[in-house]
Amino acid sequence: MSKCGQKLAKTCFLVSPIYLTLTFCLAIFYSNLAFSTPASSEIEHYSKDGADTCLQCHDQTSNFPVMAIFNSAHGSKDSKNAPFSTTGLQCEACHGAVGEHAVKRLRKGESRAPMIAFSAQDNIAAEEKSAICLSCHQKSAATHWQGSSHQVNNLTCNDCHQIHVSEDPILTKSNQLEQCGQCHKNAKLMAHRASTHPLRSGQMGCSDCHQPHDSNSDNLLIADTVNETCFQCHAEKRGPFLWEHEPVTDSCLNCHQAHGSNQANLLTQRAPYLCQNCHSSQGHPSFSFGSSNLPQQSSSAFLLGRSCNNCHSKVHGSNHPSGSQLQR
Amino acid sequence: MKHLSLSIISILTLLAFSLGVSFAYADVPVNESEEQSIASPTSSSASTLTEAKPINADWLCEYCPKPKTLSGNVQVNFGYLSDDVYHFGHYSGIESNGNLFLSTKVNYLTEQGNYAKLLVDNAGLDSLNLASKLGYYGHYQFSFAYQEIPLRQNQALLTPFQQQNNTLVLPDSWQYLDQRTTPLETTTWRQFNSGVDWQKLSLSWRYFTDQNLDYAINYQKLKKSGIEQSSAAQILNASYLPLVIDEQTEQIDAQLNYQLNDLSINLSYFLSRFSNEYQSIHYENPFSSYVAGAEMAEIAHDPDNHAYKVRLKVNYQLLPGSSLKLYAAFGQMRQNNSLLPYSSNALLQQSLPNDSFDAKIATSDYALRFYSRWSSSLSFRAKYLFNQRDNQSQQYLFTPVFSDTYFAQPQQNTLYDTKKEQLSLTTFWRFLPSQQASIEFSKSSKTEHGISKHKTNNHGVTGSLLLQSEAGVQLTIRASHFNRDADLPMRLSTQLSDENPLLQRYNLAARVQNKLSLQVGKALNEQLYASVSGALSKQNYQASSLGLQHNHNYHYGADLSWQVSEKTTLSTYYQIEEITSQAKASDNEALWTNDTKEQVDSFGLTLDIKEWLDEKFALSLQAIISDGSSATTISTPSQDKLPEVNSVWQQFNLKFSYQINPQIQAQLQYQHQRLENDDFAVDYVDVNTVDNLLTFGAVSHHYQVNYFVLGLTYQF
Repeated sequence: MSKCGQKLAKTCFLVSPIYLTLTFCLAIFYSNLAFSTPASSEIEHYSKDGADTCLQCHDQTSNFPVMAIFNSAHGSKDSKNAPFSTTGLQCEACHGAVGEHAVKRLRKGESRAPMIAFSAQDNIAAEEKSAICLSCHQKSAATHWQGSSHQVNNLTCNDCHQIHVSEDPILTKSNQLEQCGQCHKNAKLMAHRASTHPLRSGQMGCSDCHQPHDSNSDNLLIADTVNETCFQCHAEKRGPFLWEHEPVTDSCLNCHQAHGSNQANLLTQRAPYLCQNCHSSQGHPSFSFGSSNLPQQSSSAFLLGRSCNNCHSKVHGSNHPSGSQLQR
Repeated sequence: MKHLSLSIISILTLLAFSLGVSFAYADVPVNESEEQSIASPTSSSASTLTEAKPINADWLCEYCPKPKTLSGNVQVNFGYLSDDVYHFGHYSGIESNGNLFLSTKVNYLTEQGNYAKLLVDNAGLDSLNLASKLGYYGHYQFSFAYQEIPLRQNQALLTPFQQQNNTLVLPDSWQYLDQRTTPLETTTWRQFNSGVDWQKLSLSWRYFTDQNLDYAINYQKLKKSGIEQSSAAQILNASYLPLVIDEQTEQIDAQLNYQLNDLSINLSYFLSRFSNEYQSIHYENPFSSYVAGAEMAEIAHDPDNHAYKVRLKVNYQLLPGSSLKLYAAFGQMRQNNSLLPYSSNALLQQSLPNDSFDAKIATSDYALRFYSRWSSSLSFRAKYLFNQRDNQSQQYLFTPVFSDTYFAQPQQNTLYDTKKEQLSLTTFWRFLPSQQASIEFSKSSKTEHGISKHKTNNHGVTGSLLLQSEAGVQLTIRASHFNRDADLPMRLSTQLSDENPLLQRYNLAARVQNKLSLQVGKALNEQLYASVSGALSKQNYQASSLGLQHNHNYHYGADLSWQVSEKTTLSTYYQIEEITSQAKASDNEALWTNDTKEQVDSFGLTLDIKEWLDEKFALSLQAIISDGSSATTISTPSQDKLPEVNSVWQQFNLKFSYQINPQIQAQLQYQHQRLENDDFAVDYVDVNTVDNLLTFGAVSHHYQVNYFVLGLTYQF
């Protein structure tokens, strides 16, 4: 199985020209399909009275209260480009032209014509729903949604954001763990371990490290690399030190689990075993620190307390001319 | 360079091709065949304006309420803690019984869109959170935030050291630890708590002009103060030292955004400056010195440093379905502190090769990304990333003085450079409106220069499938296989001893990685939604005879959400995670192996009843348990198992609220929290446990508390 996988991985880039050619062919095929589809000639019918039409039914007592929007930027009449500004189309700016939906009387058994409800049942493609929001919110280059990881996985703006509220809950850090954790379950559970960042107490949010709309780095980090993200708060680890520790310069994630760990200091493993994953060839690290080194026996400073860090306390780097062994 | 050229050629070819297709595609009006199309008036702002005037000319919005000018709440809380528990104060700031704290939220909003918001949380505790925003919707915003985050490590630690300015001194009557015949007596030692208080101040200003320009300036100041646990070595001995921390980091991020039709440009400048009040600390050696003059030692604190970065992002939406994103950033990380002397030992003084170490690291980051949606079903993404860390510091030959006792072999500082490149090509195929498959081919390389030159090439494939049936079943499967080849390290420095060829460091070693995750969810009826999920991740380091051999991770669990009634919701989850790893160690062949197995069981339950007994009563219940264990087995070849390290964290929250009148609500909250942390390395290690180690005494992380909060909220 493994050999087969290796072969697959090795040949994947040999295969990529074929893959690209195939992709082009499919693109042409689908484009032609699109060309042959007749254009829509449906004319949109907007309501006669704008929001007044909608609010007759969709008031604060309805199943989906909407009135809080008037205490937000979206509901502001003077706000530039807002749906309720003088140039805006009010409710229909986002929910589309009311059309037959606002027919006053329905016959028995009849249901109202659907509108864009931003729900899973409305059978509208995710990117089309997001396009409605992006027609105003595309402006910032930092939030360029198209092609981002969440977009290509069919998420829409309203999967995370709420509009008919005075303040969108996701913008409050303390709500982000729960909201993002609905999909990123493992990350959420890690935040409930013994050693964590202050995520469950709400002093830190997912957005302190991740940029959910788009990012140039892997895992949608706010900075270009893992280390630069960590240095935003842990700048003392940035150095550059006179004596560097190679895995630290590579990535903090070589030793730490950022979302939470069962080991102290969010480590992936406890010392000395974490250190011995690399240091096993020279000097004392090659001892096997077993149960004979426990208290009440021949207690060893190599195993107990801070273990390797008892002496090598400057594990992130040392600026002392005699600190080549990261001891001072 | 070969890969870079190949990447750019590939992306440009795709770009040219896609543009051709997309232009042709754009000429024809489109009706997304299988889905309901939403030709929204907002999809083009220009068309909105031209269409909007006749449409909304008579819209009065009589039913639209005026915004509530002043709204908010004030909450006064009285908390009672069953015990003084230092650990409970970690992050929460609550560590003594009987505390009064206040929270408030005030919103001010005018009909014209001017607003002011104020949030105060936990005023009266060490976890104060203060935030305010002022602005004019669509025009500008100024925000201010101040946050205190208390980090509590250990309570009642013991040390014989007294702090005198920048020096840790021992009592006059101190008897060297290695010359004692009786156990240490700690009654006269200083007691202290280790912990660091973080204070974070943020200011930001955003301004939106009418000329497609936005400006933003963010400033942040982070101050850390307190006492950290540290340690230092003296030949074969080591001592724990209480390290006084007084550090601050200032950051400025200035951004300029320009938007013209489908082009957006973002130019930003980021500056970060770290300063440390202490550059070093002197301490007396609690052990007898092997040579004269080694009674006092010095260790370096983290040096002052600064970094800057200039970033340029250009996003161009070629056509509604295609976008091109370019990103380029360059920066520097610098540190130029004066070098400390080799030793505090006056008998081992030697001149340094330079007075200071002018460290300089240049960073370069580039990204080129292209996304094209060729049809309602098919889209494509190409991504090229480049990151470089170029250490441009000087190299000097140092003659370190080991533990202020003897000169070690002269040694040159090593400069670590890293270069990472990644290219990925992904196709997304939505074969039905809610069914999508994707496949991604990815190749990355990492080159590292240090003591040796290492090069790794990582290539693999990732596939995903998102399915949704008409019956409401949602299935998500993701699988990936990656193979990392590593060339044998090429020796660069001749001054250090050879690296063992049997050992490849795991971040640079050849590796095979397989990942699989699966999630199935179904709405069982309109009220009940259930899902089960499982994932495995395996990393095997087959080419390395020593060091990490494998690292496997499995997790599986179930979730349930139940809308019991209109006012009652219940949700629960259970998940098990298992992590196993194996490392082999010795000098020249694998003489012993350590196997670590970690398991974490997580359980959570949340019940919300908005009307309980009476419409004025509400109840909310939350229980979280995270039960972890970690065990290490040593094979030497006989199996020798170390005690398990257990960590159980439990939290139970029960909250009642009673609406006394429309404005006033009373709340009673009960919280039970328990942390059990059995750790053989820490729990029984007091000052007499290890002869050559001076510790802070036996510490424990156990605690169990009951915390009650009575609160009164006034809503206005």
